[in-house]
Amino acid sequence: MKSSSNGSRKILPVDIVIIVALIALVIALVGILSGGNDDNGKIVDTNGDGQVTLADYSGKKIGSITGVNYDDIINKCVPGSEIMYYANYADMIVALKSGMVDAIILDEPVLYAISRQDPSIAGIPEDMKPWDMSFIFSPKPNCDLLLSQMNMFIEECKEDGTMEELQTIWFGDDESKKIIPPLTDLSGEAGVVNVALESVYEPIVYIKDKTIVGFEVDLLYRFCQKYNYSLVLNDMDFDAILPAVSVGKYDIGASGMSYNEEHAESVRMSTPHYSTGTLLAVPASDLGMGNTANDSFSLSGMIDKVKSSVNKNFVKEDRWQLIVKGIGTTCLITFISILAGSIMGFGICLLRRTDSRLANPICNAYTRFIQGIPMVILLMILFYVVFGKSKISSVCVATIGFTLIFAASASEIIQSGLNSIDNGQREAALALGYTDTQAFFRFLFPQAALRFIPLYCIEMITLLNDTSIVGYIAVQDVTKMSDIVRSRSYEAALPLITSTLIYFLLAKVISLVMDRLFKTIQPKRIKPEDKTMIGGED
Amino acid sequence: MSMITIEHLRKEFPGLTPLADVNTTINKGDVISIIGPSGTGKSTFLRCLNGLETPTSGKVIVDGEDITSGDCNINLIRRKMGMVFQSFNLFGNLNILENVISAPVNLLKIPKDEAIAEARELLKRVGMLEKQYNYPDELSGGQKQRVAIARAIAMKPEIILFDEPTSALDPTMVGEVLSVIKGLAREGMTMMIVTHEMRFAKDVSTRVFYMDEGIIYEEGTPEQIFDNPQKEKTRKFIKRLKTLTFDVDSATFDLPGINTMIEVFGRDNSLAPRMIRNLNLIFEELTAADLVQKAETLPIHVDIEYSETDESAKISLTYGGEDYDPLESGDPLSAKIVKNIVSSAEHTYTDKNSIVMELRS
Repeated sequence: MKSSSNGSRKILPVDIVIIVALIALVIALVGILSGGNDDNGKIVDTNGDGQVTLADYSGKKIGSITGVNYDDIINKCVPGSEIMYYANYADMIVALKSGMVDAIILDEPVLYAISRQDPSIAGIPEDMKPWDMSFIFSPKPNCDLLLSQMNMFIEECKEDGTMEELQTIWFGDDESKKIIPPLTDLSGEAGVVNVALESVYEPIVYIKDKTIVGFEVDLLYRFCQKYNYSLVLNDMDFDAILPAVSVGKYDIGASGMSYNEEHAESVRMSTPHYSTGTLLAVPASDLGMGNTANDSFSLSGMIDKVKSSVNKNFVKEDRWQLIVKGIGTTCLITFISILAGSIMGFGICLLRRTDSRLANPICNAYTRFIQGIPMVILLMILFYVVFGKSKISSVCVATIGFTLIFAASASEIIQSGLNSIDNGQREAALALGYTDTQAFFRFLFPQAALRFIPLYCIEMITLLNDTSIVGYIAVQDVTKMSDIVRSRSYEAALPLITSTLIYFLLAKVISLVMDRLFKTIQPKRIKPEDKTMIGGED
Repeated sequence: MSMITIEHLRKEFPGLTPLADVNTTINKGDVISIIGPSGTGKSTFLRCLNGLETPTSGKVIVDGEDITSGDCNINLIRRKMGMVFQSFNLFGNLNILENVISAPVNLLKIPKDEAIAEARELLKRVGMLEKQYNYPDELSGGQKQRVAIARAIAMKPEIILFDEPTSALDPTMVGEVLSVIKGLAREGMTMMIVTHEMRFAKDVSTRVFYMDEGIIYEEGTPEQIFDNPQKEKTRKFIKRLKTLTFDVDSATFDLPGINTMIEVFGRDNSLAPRMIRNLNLIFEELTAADLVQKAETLPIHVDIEYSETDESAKISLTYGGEDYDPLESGDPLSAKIVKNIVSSAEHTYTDKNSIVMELRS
């Protein structure tokens, strides 16, 4: 709101500086990072047995993903190494390519998909731990039938060769075969199957051409086709899938679920549909493969890299549309929450003014409670507990959550603005014969608004940035969409900086709107020279 | 014609009872000044009249309606009673003209053009037309208060309550506000003014209430209250008396100590240095050098009074023994010194001697 004081609504030089700096950062980072680890073509054979094996990575830094228990495997097969945890595959791969870790641990199909797309990454062909991939099922009794049908279906597929066919399609090179018919083609006579999954797991579950596809999705589709179900896919954070299914919010959880005893306590597991392994992925150059040509550092080379990065992240498969969709979701949640939260916060203020013995403690308790718990947890409580059984959409739940959060802070800000207005204003209005309500709306609130709007604007921007956590409850906002893009392009810099720019510009829009509002309600002071001009009429 | 009747008005705050039992009647055309020491409920009294404070008990009857009863619409009563506050309380979000027309247009539903024309007339009367498009924070205190008065008059009230209208003002701005109020008094506006401006109260009012101890302690015309107050507390307040009393009960009393005491009293109350010296001199010549020498005079009661209003002091000595006037029968040199200092001296004897001397600056 600094711009309000110097009276300019144009984009200020400071904004331009920030934007230019961000773009420069994009070019620099993309230029440096996207080239991959091509600084040398060394072969890492530390024990000198003439072959690069798992043993060569003992004592090195190994990247692992959170939410999957790889620790034991690493400790057993690559003893003495330091484990670094990453939230998703994209981050982990960027870490490998930039040399932050020496190797990463991956499931076999995932490694295959990655190395096919990015030849600078290769796997060490020693299976550290074979495991079975299953679907998880809700413990609710109405899923009993569904589970038995699925088990039967998987057995059938294994027998009649369908499973093999699916593996050839999804783990193979022919992109044209990797297609799933539209979900709307399913009849749905027998009801709806709600599936929770995370679409950043190529080739098991991922987004291609803006739709969720993959080996498991294809399997689910064929299952629904056979048993006349319709299929609804709910894309969310991997960490959230298990709890969501265990409370019965969704019927099935997918995305490469492995069988383990903890899972078995809260959900039911289907017959395994795919047996796979766990491999260590390393820079291809370690194995003496891949592109070892040393790029010379030049501006044109950098621009080429940026071009290819833009192409990979946004142009290919029209991935920019994902980002646009994310912007829509972020805007929807932010602006509806601000609107509804403002109304609710204002209501809380009005209740507090009544001096009611009941309303005041209730309002106070409400704000203290909402402000006292982390937003992620509040959202999860709403999603899994409060609305756990209802069919209300996750965008709706996010909007409700942020409305509650914004109402609490809005009421505090409005209240502090009202408190700063001298009680004499109210008394003067009453003494003239205005009612308490008239005094409030005509004199107290307009004056308080001038004082709280700058703070209010900051709170709105904070809310906008806070909405980036909605990925936790299966909402695909800007942040989540950029994660999805990263999971396909295996690049961090461009998608992240693009999200930064988007949030920055949205925040700018908010502050411009509020600035305008501020100017509208601000008293129209007249400069001394204008007074004589207007003095005559009115 | 009685406009407001107040019966047994009482207002209690937790741990404080500013109004104990107020009874009076206010008539049309009255200009009532309410004076009294701080904290004696003058402002509370005024605020009870238009319901800004809810009385603990008692009745306030305005035009036949008891505003303390539940079924009275206080908002309608307030339209008939203007109020001017110590802290002006102009609406900060409105300009001067809007401040004046707001209530007439919104509450009395007077057409806006008409209200603006009237408001300009009023602003002209209080000398503020030039500032009609300014905002309150661009005005001086005196200017704000004049606008506040115009805002009150714009509702055409039957009475205007002034709650210390000049207390928050610079001394240089008091005059402009008082002259506006005087103008209203001349036009016959009924007003009640809580004020510390004694001269103004004396000039402008038809009645004066001296409030103390939670009641209207003394009431009368300005002449009665200011020139001839009947009660001691009123007199002390009007004359703004400062007093010092002590007893001398032994011939070996602490003279330097008492001299210092008189000096401190004098300095604290801004007496002229010469007057402090003279008070000391009188005390020494009459008491120390003369009276204490006679054992039967003890104890000697000394009473010093200083009036800020007329900057005069009075020292009186009361002592026992036979009829004895030191100025007549005492040491001639001492008597001469004292007589030179005082403007009057009077000795009386009933069962005790009493000598009262006045000093002027």
